[in-house]
Amino acid sequence: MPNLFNMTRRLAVGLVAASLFLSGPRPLGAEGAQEYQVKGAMVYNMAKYIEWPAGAFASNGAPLMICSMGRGPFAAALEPYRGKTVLGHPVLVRHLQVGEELGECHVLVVSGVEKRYLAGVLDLARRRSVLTVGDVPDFARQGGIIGLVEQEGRVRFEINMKAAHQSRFKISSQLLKLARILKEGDS
Amino acid sequence: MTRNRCRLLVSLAGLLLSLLCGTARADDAVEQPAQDLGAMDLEQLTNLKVEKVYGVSKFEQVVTEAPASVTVVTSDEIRHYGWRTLADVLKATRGFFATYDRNYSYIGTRGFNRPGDYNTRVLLLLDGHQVNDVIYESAAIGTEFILDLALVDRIEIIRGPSSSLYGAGAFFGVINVISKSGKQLDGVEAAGSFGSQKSGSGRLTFGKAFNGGEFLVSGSRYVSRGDDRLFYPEFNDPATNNGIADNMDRDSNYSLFASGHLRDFTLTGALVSRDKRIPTASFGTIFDDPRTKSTDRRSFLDLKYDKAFEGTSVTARLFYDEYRFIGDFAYERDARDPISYPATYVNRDDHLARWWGAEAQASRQVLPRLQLTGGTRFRDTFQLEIPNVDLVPGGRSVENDHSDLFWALFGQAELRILDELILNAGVRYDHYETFGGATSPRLALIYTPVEGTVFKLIYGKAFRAPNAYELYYNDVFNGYATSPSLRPETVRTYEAIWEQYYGDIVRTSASLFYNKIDNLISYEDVSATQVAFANIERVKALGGEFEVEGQWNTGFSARASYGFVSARNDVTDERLDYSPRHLVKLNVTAPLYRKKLFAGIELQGVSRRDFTHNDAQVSAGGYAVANATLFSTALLPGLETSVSVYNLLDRRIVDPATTDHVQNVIPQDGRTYRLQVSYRF
Repeated sequence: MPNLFNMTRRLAVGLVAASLFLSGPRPLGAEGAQEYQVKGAMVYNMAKYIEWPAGAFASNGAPLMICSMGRGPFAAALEPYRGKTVLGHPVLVRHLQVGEELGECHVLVVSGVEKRYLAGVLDLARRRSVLTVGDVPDFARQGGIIGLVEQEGRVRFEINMKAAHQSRFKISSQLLKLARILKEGDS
Repeated sequence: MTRNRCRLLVSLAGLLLSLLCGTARADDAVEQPAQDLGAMDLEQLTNLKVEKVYGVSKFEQVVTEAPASVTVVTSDEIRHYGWRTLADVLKATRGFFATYDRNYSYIGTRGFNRPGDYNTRVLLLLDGHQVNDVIYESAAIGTEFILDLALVDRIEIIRGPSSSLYGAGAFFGVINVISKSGKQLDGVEAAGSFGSQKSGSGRLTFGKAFNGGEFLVSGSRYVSRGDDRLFYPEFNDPATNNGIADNMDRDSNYSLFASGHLRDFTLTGALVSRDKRIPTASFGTIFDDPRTKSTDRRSFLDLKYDKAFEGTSVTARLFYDEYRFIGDFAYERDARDPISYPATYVNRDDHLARWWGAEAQASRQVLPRLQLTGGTRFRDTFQLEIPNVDLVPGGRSVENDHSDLFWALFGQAELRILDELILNAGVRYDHYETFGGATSPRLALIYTPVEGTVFKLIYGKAFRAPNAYELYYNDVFNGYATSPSLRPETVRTYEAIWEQYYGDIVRTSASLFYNKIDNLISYEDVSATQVAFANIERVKALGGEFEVEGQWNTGFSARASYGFVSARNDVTDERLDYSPRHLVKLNVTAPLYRKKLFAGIELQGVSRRDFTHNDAQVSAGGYAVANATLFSTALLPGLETSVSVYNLLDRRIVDPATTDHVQNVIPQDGRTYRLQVSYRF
């Protein structure tokens, strides 16, 4: 064993040193925007193109609550929009655990959630007319309203029209023309 | 053709150049001004080229809240390290190792490795479909695995007995391989490789997404001469070609894979056929006789339905499977053989199994803090033939036909007792025609005191039913005393896991486990000419593993792990055979040029393995092996190339052999290389 460990250690130190030397730290965003920064900006931007059902906001200046659920960098990517306004509504941001009540959420961002939780989460959101946005695979097909999918290194939308209608959302044509539409029967 | 070759040459030159200039890359990154993303409109955002966050798939929920210690291996890692088979993947995975007897590869985990057991104690899944066959229950991890590794999206490796979650047979763990989808590929991809031992492979894949669905079809071929002058000193005699197995290591396979989904249905079909010559003269066969070889052909069709109804997610499956094994063994006629036989003849296992089955599972959040999952599975093995015959006109033969009916029920409850504390309780009942039923419970507490810190406490019990080979197999020599009274093996596990995340970059994982195995099925000599399978062994294993892993947005990633196990045979109170005490791993990927050229370097250490071989106490020495890969992507649009060198320092490595071999150790390959190219149209 001494042989093995000696050699292992020497090689390990050498390799790590060599590769650190070769790669080194590099500023973020040198080649393109970060995936989740873009996704966060999309969620904030998207809210402008959505008409919530009557009664979703107590008043014209009532806050817009963006909630997130699940692990990973999506929650942090929403933070920069706290306090900004969307059509006169100041934005609030909250992180929820799976199983927590959706409370005052207007938007629910679902990312890094196990698939078997998804049906329950989406069902709850549908009943409360919460706009669901997610990047778990097949999110829109599984009953989410807006799915974020990667296509050729870009983030694109999939919109489940049936789910949007059920939750009584109106989505502006400007948003629809950018998205791939999942029609009745596709979902 | 000329154009492609030209591109290949150009890219190879590029590889070399950038290696040389790797250190002078400060000027290659074109800085972009920080963009105010919030001020951009949606159309601009959808046109923005984004940089994937490295490691998100690694740190996703499934890993942290799963009631087990889980490793996720991504397709990026497979390419960066030049892994050729699942065995290569496992060798680089914390707490795992693999041995090879130049016919099949055998998984080692938690101190347990049994060359010759065909990995019957690990459940292998492809997209959730069980790959283990119903005769040997083999988890094929070598070139006989059913999917080309290039079509793998990710692999989830779940440690410990997980029968209650994943199904019967998850005795030591589960390897769940998830294939790429047509959407991910979106086009035609052609790939080829060339390497030492006159190895070559080719693959053609086509994938497409359309409204409401997607599909992928792929075909692969692999051929290798292997080490065509293997030397075995045990056979160093002029009568046996001076110990040289001449051109006896040939390995070839072809595989087909098709998968498509339309709305809520997914149809998958897979097939692999592999031929391997056996150079070791195992089972007393004639040394250096090319007639001794094995053929494994595995195929299945699987129709899956996946749908959410009003908050309940439902998955159902209907499947049809086939497995065929042809083992040819060349023998010299001896005194026990009929006098009419030729001087040498071939004895053949011609095994065939066909089965179909169905599975249904539903999951629902019944209370805000309670998620229930339940399901059932049924499998009908309507054909199970394991005859053994001599390929001699009018020769001996043993017919051996069986059938089997299996069903199971399982349920799992996840209760979020507190925001930070989850109780996960699962139970599974499996019923076999042969011996009746068995229950596998599993209980886990998952505690997350603060974001990024996870503690898991796990108790689980699993069993393994004796398989058809152990229950019924016999040959024309009557060398096996069949034992229909075999009982299932059981394993109880106690495990504590601590996972710590430092941001989304670095993660550490530490675990302690204690395994107790009873009624372990082993074969023993019942007379000079007969062996029998019996529930004779008990094993206790105590061990721990530690791993540190980091992934940076620059594309740099590294992971290092150490595993220790003390495994004892409880009957003899000696150290368990074939069990190394120490395992060390180091894997480093460094981007050399942007995120287009990577160096992947890995190092694996396995300590000495002691074992009994034909009544002698012997050992396979510890070893350290290093592999290196240079990988490039998108140097030209659609082109990926890699050069790998395995066993970089040309170390002598040997793996233990069972008593089916005269040799007590089987030498492994020295330094070999592989060049791989793939092009997406």
